[in-house]
Amino acid sequence: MTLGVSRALRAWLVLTTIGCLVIYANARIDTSDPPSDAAMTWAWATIHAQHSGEPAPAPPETATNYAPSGPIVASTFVRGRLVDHTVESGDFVGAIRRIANVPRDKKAKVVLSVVLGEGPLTMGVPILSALSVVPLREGVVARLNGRQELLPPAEMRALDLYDGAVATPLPDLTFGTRIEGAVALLARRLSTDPETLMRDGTLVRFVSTTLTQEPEASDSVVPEVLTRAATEGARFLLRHQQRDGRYTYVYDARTGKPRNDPYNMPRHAGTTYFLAQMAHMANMPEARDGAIRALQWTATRALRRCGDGDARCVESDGRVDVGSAALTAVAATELLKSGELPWVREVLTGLTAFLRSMQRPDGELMHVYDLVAHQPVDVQLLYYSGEAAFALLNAHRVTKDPRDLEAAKRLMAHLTGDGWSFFGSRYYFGEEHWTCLAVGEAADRIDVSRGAEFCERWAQFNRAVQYGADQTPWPIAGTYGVGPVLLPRLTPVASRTEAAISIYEMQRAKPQQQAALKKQIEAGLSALLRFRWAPGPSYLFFSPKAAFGGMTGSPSDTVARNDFVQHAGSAMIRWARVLRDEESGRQQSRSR
Amino acid sequence: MHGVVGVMTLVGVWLALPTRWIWVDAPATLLGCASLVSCVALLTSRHWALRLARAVTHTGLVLGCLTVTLLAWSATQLVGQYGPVGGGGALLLSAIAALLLPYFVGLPLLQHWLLRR
Repeated sequence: MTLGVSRALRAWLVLTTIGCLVIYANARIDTSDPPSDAAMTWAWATIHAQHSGEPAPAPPETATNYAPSGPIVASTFVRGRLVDHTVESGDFVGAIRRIANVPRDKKAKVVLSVVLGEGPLTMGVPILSALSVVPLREGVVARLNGRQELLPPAEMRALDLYDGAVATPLPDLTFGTRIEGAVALLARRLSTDPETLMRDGTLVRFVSTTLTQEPEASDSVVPEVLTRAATEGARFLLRHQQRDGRYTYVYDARTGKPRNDPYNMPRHAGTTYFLAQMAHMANMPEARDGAIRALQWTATRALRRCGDGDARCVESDGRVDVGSAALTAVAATELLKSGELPWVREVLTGLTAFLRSMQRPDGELMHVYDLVAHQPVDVQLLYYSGEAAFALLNAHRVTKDPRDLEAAKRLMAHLTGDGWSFFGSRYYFGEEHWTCLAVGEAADRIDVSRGAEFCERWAQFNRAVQYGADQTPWPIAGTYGVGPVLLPRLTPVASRTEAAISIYEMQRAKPQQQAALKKQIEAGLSALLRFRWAPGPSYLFFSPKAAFGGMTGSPSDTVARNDFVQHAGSAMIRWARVLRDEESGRQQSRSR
Repeated sequence: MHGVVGVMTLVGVWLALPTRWIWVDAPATLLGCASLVSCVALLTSRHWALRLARAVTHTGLVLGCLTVTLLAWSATQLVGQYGPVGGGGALLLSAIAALLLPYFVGLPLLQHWLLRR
């Protein structure tokens, strides 16, 4: 290498390092302290007193002494809609008293945002600009001609500006803040257009603490709390189930109405499975009725003859796949566990015959059936093989048909053996929750040592990407992710927790591994309990009562899809049973 | 080698990148095309081939270093703004850095060394 190139490289390294230090110092916002709990209690009492006509309480010393480093924004919502936005500066006590004096509807919910510091906003760089505002924690300030307008996190969330700017090829995975949306709104508030604001004004981001009066849901992982949460989840699903048995697929809590997404049959079946679980694990007869109605809806609207003999499949918009049939079989089995129903048994045997007919000689399944050509199509789709293995193993408990067990054995051998064997397969995994649920289900009937090893490695991999406390800007300990740029999704937390419970139950002879897994499971459940709508961010909801018990897909989202509730509820009720069994085991050994 | 680099650069920009941005697309396309021209010139023993190959290599090295610097600065911006990145995030950022350095800096340096010989 020539001397010139060598020198240039050294200069490049130094420049890059210095640049990193400067950028870090610039990007970081040193925040001031938020108001104390006592100061906030006084603030809420003052706002309430003004509306109820009671005398306002005297401010405590912490409120009088608190010096806000920026303005305080009061956002008023009625039925999920922002109806008033008040910004006050100066001393804390004076600002809160002025906010309290704003006339408000009795049903109004107030959210206070106290600005704790501000920093520069990156504009005009694709992707990086979308990441330049930390969701749920930061808002945007616009300044133009001596005027200032703030858009705090609560309002950004109400406008759905977080977490949707950049779409990824993965379903349900988007990230980044829609800065253009924030700029457009701020420009409107400043009576100008976005171009003028961008050209002549200043845009900065700010960190604020968001204070609401929502009670926090208990995140204590004990059987009582878990059972209550699962029961409220089931009630949410039943509340939004139509009379004919069809569920509300996606419930939008902001509008209080179902969203018009295309209906999903595998998720209809998965939800029915959860309700059937609740019927016998939480003694909830209304859940059994709901599950029966849902299965009847499938049987009358979607059950088709696929292939020769008794084989039955589930059609959805002209398409037949293994996933819908497998999960419908799982739901039917779960219903039969809490009482015999001949028509349900008939549906089940038809579905398992279909699943068996889709198997290839190597054990893998063909996932799609062509209704016109009357033959299987050899394609593989996410989740379906795992779901089918789980369905066949589960069904075998009820049907006692050895063909179901044999088909499941061959499918399991493929899924956890040759199906996941490539260079790097020890370090990278897909979404294998159904596979590991199937391994857990099979453990008492077939040799699952290979499958158990696979699932233990999978759980270990998940442990490596599970967030601990203070690893991201949000209180999301227990969720899974690969960096704070993406707000974690909660459905994978729930589904991986369900599978981890199955692995935990298989590890009875390995107490050390079980302890690590227990910690992982309970951290995941704790996160799910925190984010479920009990009541959730109800200031954003059209009807907090209708949304109660729902489960969202991510911490910034305000919609509940039926499978979000299903996976979370299923994990909760199963872990509640594990804890109760362990407790009764301990009591029995003490009494001996 | 210039031919391979040219094809890799063009494929990387036009097929692998999910979004279009002129500040990345234009220099990378120019570099990719120049590498292909340089490859043809070297194979057909044009008298200006070596000069062009050196110019392309040095431009590639400068652009590679610039890309790594900008990525490092972007990562620093995110860490400064979002705080700790968690175990998964740290792993991902390190993996990206480790994957990019050989292609963006190592490869042009190898080309530079080969051309000097």
